[in-house]
Amino acid sequence: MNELVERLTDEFSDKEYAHAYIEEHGNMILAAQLKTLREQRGLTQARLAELAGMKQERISALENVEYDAWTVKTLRKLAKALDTGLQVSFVPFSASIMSIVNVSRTNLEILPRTDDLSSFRRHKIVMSSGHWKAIDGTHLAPVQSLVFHEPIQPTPSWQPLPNPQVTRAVGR
Amino acid sequence: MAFSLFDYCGADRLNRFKEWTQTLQSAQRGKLNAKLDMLRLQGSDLFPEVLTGTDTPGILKLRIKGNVQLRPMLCKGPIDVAKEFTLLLGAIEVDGRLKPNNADKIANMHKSEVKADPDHRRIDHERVS
Repeated sequence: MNELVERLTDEFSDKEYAHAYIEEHGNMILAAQLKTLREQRGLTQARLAELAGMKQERISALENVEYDAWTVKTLRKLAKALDTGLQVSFVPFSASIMSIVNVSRTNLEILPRTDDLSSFRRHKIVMSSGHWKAIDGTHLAPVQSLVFHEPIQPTPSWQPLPNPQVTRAVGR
Repeated sequence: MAFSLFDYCGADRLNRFKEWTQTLQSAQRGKLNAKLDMLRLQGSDLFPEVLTGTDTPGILKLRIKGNVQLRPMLCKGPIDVAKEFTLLLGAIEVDGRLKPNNADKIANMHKSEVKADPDHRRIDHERVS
């Protein structure tokens, strides 16, 4: 398990700590994503403010990680100005932990709506384990059979498999 | 890219930053660790104004809101400024004034001590949760 995941899982058993951590993290991510999306779209703060019906000073304040008075109304205005969807929902702490350890600029970026939908059209929608899933066909890779140049001999460090059946290839 | 976090140690090799963190309440430690985790994972570039300057060049502060305004002092490096942060001093802000007084100057002294003897005057960041 990732060290930070393990640590946060332990730490979040303290309710006060967990909520304070998530609140602070959430404020940081909203500010960071707002700035990331604005830059991704080549917008100045003034232009984004114009699109969202706000003042440039307000955008500047919202892009500060210290800002902690977010409202859904403000987020909706920004989502429309940035042409993205907005999802506000309650989530389990385990999901929050996974989003914390996966923070990156790439993960904060969102394709503009038309590009996103164009890309989405190329996905295959399949039912898996009771859920609809979108699979990106470009992720399919050709499979090559393994060719050993010489037989592999087990070394003493190898562990015997408890069930040799799993070594058999499954034909489809 | 992951960054390294260090804590300042006194001449007695005791971790002064950890001592300060241990005096904080649970919620304060939660907020502090949220910021430090992102700093460690992503540095300061992704998060607008997560680090702000002080009157002393090279000394930065984290701002953590709450009943008590935490203002821990830190610096980039000081050995490898591209990959490290060193937590130099625990401080708070009351009515716009830092406590302890001259916290940025004290932090700068600590920075000089770390720079002169990094093996003994800093230690890998010890998280308090």
